[in-house]
Amino acid sequence: MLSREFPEGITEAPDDVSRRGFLGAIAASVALAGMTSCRKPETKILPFTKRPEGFKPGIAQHYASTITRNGYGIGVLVKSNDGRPTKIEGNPLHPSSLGGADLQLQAELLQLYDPNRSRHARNAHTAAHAADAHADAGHGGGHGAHEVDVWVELGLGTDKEVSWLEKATSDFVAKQGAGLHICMPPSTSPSLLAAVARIKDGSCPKAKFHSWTALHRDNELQGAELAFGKSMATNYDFAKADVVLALDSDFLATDGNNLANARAWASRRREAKNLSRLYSVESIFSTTGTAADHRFRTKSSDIPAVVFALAKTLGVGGGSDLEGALASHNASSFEKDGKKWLEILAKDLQSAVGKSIVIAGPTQSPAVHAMVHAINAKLGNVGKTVMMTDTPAGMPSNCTAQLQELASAIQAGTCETLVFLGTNPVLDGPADLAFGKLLHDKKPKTTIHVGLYDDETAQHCDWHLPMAHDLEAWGDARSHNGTVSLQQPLIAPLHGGVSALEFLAFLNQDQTTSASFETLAEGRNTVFGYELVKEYWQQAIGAADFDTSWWPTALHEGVVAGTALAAVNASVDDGAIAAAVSSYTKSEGIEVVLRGCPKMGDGRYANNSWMAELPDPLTKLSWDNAAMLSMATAKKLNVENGDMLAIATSGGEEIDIPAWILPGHANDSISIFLGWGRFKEEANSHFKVAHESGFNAYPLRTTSSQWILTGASVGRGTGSHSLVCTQEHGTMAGRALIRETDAATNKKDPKWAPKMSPLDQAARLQDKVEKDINKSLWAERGYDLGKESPDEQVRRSPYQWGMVFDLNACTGCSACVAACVAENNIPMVGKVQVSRNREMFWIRADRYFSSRSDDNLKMIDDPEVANMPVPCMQCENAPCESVCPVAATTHSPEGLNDMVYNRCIGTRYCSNNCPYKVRRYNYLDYIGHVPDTKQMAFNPDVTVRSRGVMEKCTYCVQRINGGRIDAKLNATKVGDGPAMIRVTTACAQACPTEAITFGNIIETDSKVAKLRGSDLNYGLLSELNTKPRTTYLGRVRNPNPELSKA
Amino acid sequence: MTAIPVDLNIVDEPENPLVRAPLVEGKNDFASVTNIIAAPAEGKTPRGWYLMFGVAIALLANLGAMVGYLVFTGIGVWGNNVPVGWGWPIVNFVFWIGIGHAGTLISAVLFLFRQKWRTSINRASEAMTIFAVMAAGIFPAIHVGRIWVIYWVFPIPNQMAMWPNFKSPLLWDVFAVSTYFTISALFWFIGLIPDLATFRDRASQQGRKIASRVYGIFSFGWHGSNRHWLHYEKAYLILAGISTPLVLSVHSIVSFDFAVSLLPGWHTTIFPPYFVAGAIFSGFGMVLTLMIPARKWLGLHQLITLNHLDNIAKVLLLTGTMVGYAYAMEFFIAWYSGAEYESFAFINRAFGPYAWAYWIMVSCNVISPQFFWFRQLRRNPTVLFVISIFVNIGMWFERFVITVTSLHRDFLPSSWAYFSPTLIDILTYVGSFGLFFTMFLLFCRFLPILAISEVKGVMPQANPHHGHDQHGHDDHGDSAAH
Repeated sequence: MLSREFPEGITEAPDDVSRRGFLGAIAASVALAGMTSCRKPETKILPFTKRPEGFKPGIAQHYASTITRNGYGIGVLVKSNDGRPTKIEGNPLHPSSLGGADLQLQAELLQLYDPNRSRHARNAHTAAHAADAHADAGHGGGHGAHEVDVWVELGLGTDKEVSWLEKATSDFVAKQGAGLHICMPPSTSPSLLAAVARIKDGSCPKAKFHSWTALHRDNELQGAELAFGKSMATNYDFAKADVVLALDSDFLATDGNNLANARAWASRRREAKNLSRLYSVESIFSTTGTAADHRFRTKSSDIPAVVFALAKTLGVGGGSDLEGALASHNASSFEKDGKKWLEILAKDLQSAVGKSIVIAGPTQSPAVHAMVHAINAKLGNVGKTVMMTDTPAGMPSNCTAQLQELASAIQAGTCETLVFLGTNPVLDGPADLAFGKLLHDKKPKTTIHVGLYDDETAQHCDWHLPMAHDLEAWGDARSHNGTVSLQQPLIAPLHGGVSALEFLAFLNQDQTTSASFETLAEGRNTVFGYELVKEYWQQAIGAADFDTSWWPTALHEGVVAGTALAAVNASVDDGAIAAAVSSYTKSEGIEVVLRGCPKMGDGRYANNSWMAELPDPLTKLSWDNAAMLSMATAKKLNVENGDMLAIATSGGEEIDIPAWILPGHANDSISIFLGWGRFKEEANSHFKVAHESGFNAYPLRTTSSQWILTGASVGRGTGSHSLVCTQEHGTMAGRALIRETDAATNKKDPKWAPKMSPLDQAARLQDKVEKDINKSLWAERGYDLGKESPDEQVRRSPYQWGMVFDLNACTGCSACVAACVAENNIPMVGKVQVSRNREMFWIRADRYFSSRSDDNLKMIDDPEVANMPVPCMQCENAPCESVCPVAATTHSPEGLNDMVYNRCIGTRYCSNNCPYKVRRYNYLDYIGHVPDTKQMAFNPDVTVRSRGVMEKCTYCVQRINGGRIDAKLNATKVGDGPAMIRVTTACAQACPTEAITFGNIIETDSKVAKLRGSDLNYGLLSELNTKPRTTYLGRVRNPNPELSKA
Repeated sequence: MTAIPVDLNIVDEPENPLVRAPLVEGKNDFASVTNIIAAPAEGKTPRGWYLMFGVAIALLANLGAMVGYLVFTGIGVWGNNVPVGWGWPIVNFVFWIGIGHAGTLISAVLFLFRQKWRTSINRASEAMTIFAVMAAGIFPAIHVGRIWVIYWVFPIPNQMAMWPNFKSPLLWDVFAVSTYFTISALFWFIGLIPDLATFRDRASQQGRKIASRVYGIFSFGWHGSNRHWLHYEKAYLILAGISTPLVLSVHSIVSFDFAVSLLPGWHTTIFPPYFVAGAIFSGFGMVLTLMIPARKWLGLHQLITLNHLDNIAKVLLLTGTMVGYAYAMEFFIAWYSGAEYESFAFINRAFGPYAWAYWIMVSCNVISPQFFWFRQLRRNPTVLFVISIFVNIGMWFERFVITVTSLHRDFLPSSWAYFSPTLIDILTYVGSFGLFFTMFLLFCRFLPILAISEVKGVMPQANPHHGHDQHGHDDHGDSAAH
């Protein structure tokens, strides 16, 4: 009897639904929705009598959906195995993804299955539920208690006779919504905005909505308001930019629309042709900084001076007040050595009129953003590389002000009913608003929190309702350029959560075709969200063929074509910026810069073990954040790595956080990633991941200085903290691992990269001629079919897999690592194990600091960074294979270095003999105690590995085999050619910049074969004659020759 | 010559190159030799033995606990990581295997070379060898991740036609070590047969029936006939012949575990001779560590004389210097080859994070045996004992340096890491001494710790002319004392 394969989680649907029944429900819903939907208005559960079209048990299906980040939608394709979402990929049709998926997108999958997500509605009267919830979450689930349906809870409370909501809503309506405050994140979702409008313009005109998100875009949008007189959104086309200047901007990895921007930028960095040039001015070393040809490190608070000086050099604001303001701006406040740099940069920008981009990051003030707009206008970039559009509806430029408003309303006692709809200001609100204290002292009559977690804010509220994850709920969103995409759920809410849209519609007692207030309140409904979204679009589109064409197409493609916002012309009001320029004063002392974390975002992934363990792209820290500072500043503060720093604001808030020296960080500046250090209280210890990791920097944040703190006092704290770093050594020790040169050298000798091999150099020393010194005495494996004997040809597979990493495009963002984790069921091992160097990542992103200067000190102060992803090289002469005593790792006819887990006895000799150290060993049982819900995230095509066996990258052999089967069924081949079946690895698929190419190296037309034939192609450590199948394209930097001279 | 009371005084004659020093000192005859050797097995168990045995058994129990914990929890209880896939267990394995070298060298090679001084130390050395190989054998077995399928390393015919990988040095190791253990055990046991018969006879005379029966079973009905001796000596000679190449092969093959890899610091052709020299060095070191207290506590001064210790010290001096030469040559080749990874590996060894281990190794293995250039020091049991301890420490560190420092920083600096052992690592290692000493103490208590028949064979009394011609057969020192 195959009952309860998933003892909890998937079978947690209301009542006793069997797994089979659940599958039936999914399948039936597929039939109903034509394309998809896991929800269906059926209440009867029956097995298939007729299998829905396209559904094959055991065969994964992909659905287009949308993940919303900071209000903007990113289109995704989600793989579903028998009703379980198991992998998130970017949607190639979506303009904010283009097929790439960064690490936070990958992490959304685990977020869905987080065992610590709240599972119960809770209110003050049902404390028992809360106790349950804690107990369950504490041991990661595994309970048989009857689940409480959220709808029932919300509708009826504990007393069936009195509907809380019915009473509450009639109260709201009677008062026209006065006293009702709803705090929700900014959202571009058209259907959600419509639901908001139904409340605001309908039943409750006096209700107040407050937008809040910690990583808001206030500065950027206010800058646009300052420059253009109205709120405008900016989109960039980095593919057309010859010269790019990033000002404290990490547009390649963490800032908005990073996937599209990275893709476009990378398109100008390939094969040393038509190279663009990237300048970066920043305090932290960001992913964008590592990609820059020239990086100038300076305090974030000094960047306005840089921008103003640049504007002055470029002659911005000629004839207006701005010119005067810039002229009076004291240029000497910009450091001496920076002046020359700036002049050369200005010259370079001027030489690329209409083909350059200046972009500022979210930490920079509205004045800087406004000035950047003025510079772009001056350089003729607007409309060419910098596109201005209207700000999408729902994107406010004053999140801070809106939250302040809410705080004052609570303070004044005018707020009676307060709803936090997916927001968490007790954690991430500015410290001077002190939401926790406010909710404690001046608690509104009713407080409701709807969220994924029973989090900091929920713990201050009477009510808490579990929220549905993006993959569990219907919705929609706009991308950065305005393109609409639909969000379709992949699975029914695991813990009965509601979406923001559903909650608002419910609050307003909206009716849909088949869902009414009564059906919801009785807990009989699962199609509410579906109908809300569909009916919204039906109304908005109004097309006759809506059901047959528009809706299925929109669901299938994941995007609605033609919904991008049109670029509009806008002229910069130079005069308006002038005042902002003159109000700038240079700050002294040590600044503290708070930033959104590339892993944790604003803290939403704090309990996500993938994000906690995955090494930070720059520091390679795992399981912690730290105060990043330069060596000079560390010396000044008398701290070493791990020593605690005490940072106190003028407002009296203080945090202790360990220091971490990041070479290349600006002096007198400390960068801290937000989003860590949640749930530190003992009562919250069941949030295992968050409880054990990181330090919370939100207390330092105030409404007036949310990003850059200039008045903070920083000193040596007491004690130290053990920080765990997965890459303890930061330089290449003079070895030709990552091979780099500049454009000029590349032009002189295009084959420079392979020539950097030590053996090659040795040969040329001796003989003064190049020769094939790796030539073997023995007959070797070949893959040129023509040159082989007929016998060999028969045995040879028509597929010989290979992979090429283009180091020109790699930004080190680590999306490949996250994608590999999700695809290959890679266990997270925890901080202690990582500290013992036992992390299990099959691909790692190596980061090396280097310097053109021989001076070691200069290297630590101001290095360059190069990144190199390293998976298994699938060596043709694999050193691991010959040493295994039981032949557990062997070569496949397709050139894969196969690992046979079942045969492995775990001698670890293969790992010792692997020059790339890409093999990972199950030192302990890392997979046996994965909570049940997390097990649902496992890819069923990849076996989990037991204690005591070695594992490593397989080139996603499950995908290769899947593709081969498809090819056979379609009477074609796997390959890049027309009508062939495409196969790629998880890392290559996720890579935002398409830096990874996988394919068949003997298919002469394949992309990978062509790249392998590139002049830049070289094998890592190929001098060992390992004949790696994974190769790299040497990196060509494009420094400004004038600046290199200087 | 009449029987005289056993004289236990230490004799340290001044060196006289013209006269070969006697192998058995004091006024001993056949009977007294038998008495001396049989005494520990026949007398009352000394209190000290119980004390030491208690400690050894406790350590052995600790080993069992550690292994149990390991098997039920995983290799992660040790400090091993990536890149350092092999840590203390492999270090301990090579350490014990090295110690296991002296016995066979003494018993087989010195036998074939007619080095008669071997007779008084070969039995204990061989026992030491066998017990050391037992201790060694534990480690490769427990260091695999899935010990329950370790039998896959043996070429056992099976329905899937799955064979081990004959290219893997680990597999060669399996064969080399098991062969070595089998041959050593056989060789040791064959040598024991005449002495066990002696013990049997003495036990039955003394009325110790159980002892007599047990010794009787293992002495295979030996009654010392000429035919027995004939067969015995043939078998002994053949086994010595078989063992001799094993002395060289075992540690050569153990060295292949490293040399066949491509890791800088491991991938070295000097390894086989260097490992063999190191093994002999460590084996003789351990012989000294064991024999000096044994000879004192068991009253064997006259059988294991200062001349024996002197000879062992000379071997230590030779092999220690060879090892030192190997260390130097590794550096020279690393520089001479121009291979950057190789050069780095050796510079890192001497000056990197594990420099402390490297210099412990050099001090103990190269510098400490240099004291043996001095005769007084070679003949001072206290000095010998202290230096032998240093040799043991140094040779453990040699294996640590080779295994861990080569692994911890190899080709890609991104993978470089530091290895630290856990408490379990340490307790497991200490536990292996428990096994070794438990076995050795049992051996000392119940078996002839010297080869009685062989010792008698090198006494002047064994010379057929002894007592018949008192002029001209004075090649044994004591005959000049009349």
